[in-house]
Amino acid sequence: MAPGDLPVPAEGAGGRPLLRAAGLSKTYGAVQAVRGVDFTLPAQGYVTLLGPSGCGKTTILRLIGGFERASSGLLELDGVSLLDVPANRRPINTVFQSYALFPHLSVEQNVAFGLTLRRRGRAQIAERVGRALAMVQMLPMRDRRPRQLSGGQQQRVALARAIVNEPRLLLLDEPLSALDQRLRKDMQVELKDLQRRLNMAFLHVTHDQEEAFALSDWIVVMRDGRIEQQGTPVAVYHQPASAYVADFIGGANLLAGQVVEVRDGRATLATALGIFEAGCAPTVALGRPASLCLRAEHVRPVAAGGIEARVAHVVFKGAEWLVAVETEDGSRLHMLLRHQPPAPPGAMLQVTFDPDAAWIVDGTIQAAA
Amino acid sequence: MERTRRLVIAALTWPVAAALLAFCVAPLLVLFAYSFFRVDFVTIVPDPSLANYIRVASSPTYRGLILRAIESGLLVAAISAVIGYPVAFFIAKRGRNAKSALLTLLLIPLYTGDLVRIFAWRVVLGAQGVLNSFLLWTGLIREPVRALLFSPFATHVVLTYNYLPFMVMGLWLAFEALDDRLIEAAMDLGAGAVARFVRVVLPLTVPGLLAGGLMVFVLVVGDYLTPQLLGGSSGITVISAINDLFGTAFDWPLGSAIAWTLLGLLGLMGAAAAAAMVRSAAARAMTAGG
Amino acid sequence: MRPLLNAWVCTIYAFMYLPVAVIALFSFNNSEMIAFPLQGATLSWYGQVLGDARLLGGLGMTFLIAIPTAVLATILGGASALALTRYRFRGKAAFVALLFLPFAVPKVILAVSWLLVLAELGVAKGLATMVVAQTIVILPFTTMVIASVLVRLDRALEEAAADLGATTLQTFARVLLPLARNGLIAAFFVAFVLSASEYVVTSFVSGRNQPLSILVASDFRFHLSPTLDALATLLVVANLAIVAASELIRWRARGRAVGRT
Repeated sequence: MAPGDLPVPAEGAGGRPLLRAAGLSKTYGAVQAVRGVDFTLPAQGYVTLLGPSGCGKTTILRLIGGFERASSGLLELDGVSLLDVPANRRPINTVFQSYALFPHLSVEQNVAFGLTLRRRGRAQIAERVGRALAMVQMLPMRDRRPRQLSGGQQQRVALARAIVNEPRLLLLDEPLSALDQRLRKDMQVELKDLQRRLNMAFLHVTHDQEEAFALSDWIVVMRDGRIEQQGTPVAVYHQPASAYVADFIGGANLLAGQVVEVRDGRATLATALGIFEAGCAPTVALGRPASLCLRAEHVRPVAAGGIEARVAHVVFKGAEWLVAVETEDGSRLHMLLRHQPPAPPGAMLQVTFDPDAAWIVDGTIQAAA
Repeated sequence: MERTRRLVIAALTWPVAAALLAFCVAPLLVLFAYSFFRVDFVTIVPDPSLANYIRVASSPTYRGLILRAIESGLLVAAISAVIGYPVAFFIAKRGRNAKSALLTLLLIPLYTGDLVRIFAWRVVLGAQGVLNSFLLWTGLIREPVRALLFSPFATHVVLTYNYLPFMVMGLWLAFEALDDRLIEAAMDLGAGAVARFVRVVLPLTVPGLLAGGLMVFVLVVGDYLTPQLLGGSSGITVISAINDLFGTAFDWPLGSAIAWTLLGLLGLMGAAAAAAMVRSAAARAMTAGG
Repeated sequence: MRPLLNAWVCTIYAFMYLPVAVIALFSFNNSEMIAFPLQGATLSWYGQVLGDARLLGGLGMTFLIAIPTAVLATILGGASALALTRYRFRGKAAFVALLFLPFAVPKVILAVSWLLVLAELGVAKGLATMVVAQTIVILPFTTMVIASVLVRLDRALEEAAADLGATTLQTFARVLLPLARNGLIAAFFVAFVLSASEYVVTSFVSGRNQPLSILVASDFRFHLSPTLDALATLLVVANLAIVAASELIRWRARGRAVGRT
């Protein structure tokens, strides 16, 4: 189990997880894309692989799909090893980033493709295709060609084409990255809804943490070919395992410091702004660099008794104001305020935070960078 | 998985490779073997020696023919490069939907066949041909220009005509790969038209020039019909010499030696061009990064 | 700058079609002499060509050679193109070099080497030798045509087919082949036309029955006559028709892919 692991999610009907990966690695020449990764996927649930480009998340997806061969490690589906099973024989389907709809076939023929290969009866195929298309609201377009569809429509057809085969696991490779903001939000809702209705396992790869939070029952945060943390969105957000995760998820203030004491899941950290005691991530230990993690929404200005700071800049975000302040020793703190900030840039004020909202994470930004 | 992949690759490549080895490489190797033999009246004596190669190397006639072939090749390659460069640019950058049609149109005159083409040019360049008639009609000359036909001029004009499409194709591919945004970036940085051409467009199309140039060069060297039928007394080429040695002037071993000397030179030039292409700035740019 | 470019391009295209136009012009000229001034229009030369049994026999031979050659060159070229664009394997560079060898070696040199081998082995020259020789020479062209189509096909399409359960054969038959169809048709026509107009190599390996390209050559050496013009024009028109047909098929196929709504 990698540092930061929280207990695995509920297991499948057979009392064992749907997919199990242990020590999974993939090396391309001198580059290690995936380094000994361990994780499991339940038979139902929406799981996302989250990370920046190059972190190995797409490689893992392709290893599961069968488009790449693992360099070493274990990969099992329903307890049976997948390593020597070619892609076309895995009960897994993929929604590709470019959708990969067959241009010479109509929407209906595209969706029916997998079924026609298995020689089901024509009536049965038509019925299943119809149901799949209806589920993604693409039934009226059944005779169109992919070329005549918009990006969002193509994506739905790609979805239908995958789920009509009733796979054990659906893989989605950054399916929403080509869509504009508005459409993306709508599709996120539809994807989540679809997964619930089908009650199956979805594994979704993305670099957008908002998307991961919106969709997932379980998030796997990756970096440099390794898993940094796995957990529910709430856990990852409020209890990040490391400074890297806290920073990647966004919106966190990280104050580097020295660990003074660790006991019963709580630690004491000495930082430039003072000594603080708070709950901590599992790998925080004496002698290791650590940071105090403060969500921007938990930092607020106070009339007296707080930390002296000068307002550096103010950003209006519509529903909130993002205020950056700088303390005497040069530390930067971000605050998310509901109302207009009390002082303009350049002015001095005092800030404080709710001690129960603080969290101590392993590592620092500088080390993480 | 891996076994099927290897099976597929084998199934795709081995029949073709076998055919080419059997019908192309093997006969050429036989030719190579023959170049060491000698002829004794009407029989070929397998008496291996370097005599033929020495003869080729020491004979001013053959050396001259080979040199002339290379000169023609380079000249026509250069001319077609200059003529074809704007055309390739036009098709790639201004062609829009008509690109395939424009390229096909360029290739159609090739489909007429070697002889019909040469025949047509005789009509155009002849003393009573189209060009002379036109020049007479406009009053630019008072007598038909005899040197238009059966001269090196005629040979080179038609050689350029024959192989210009190949140069255009090679250049077109390079232009297609040329990202317009690079030119825009140069403009943004203050480069004038000349600077943009010399510092951006030209270096990036060098692989196309080399590819097209090599194709044209090889084709020109191998073309004996055009010089023979249009070049008049200047129309003897090294290829026609080989042709004769395999025909009326029966000396297969000598012909083989000349052929292989030529092949050796072509191989060297091809290797040089390939090396230049690999090291050119464009190739370096394309393989770097990512 | 732009009008200059346009003018230049038009000039070059005119240059390319000048000889063709001249030939066509004189094929209708009512005079034995191929010289200006023109003497009025006639179709008699065409009549002579179409009535010449020898020439028609040559045409038959041309077809007899061109069709098998085109089929072979397309299949082999397709296999090569597939291997080149879809797979990495050791010796790929050598394979490419081998493929383009027939292009790099001057045709006459290839032809004389065939002459040698045929003489050594005592093989009779005829249809088989011409088909093999032409296929070898045309192979680089068909490979390039098909490769240029395959290269543009999204690789993800094949992965998608596999993802949906297709074996390699099924992916080939149901995805690659339909999408590469245009390229195959184009390659076939290119091969056909190149075969029909091929002279140099064919002249070395032809037997008693000679295709049109060789008959034209021997006639050409003996006398210049407008019948030859007529024949040449017919050949050009026929080639143009074939190319036009191929383009038409491609254009209609593209239209069908877009679909009628």
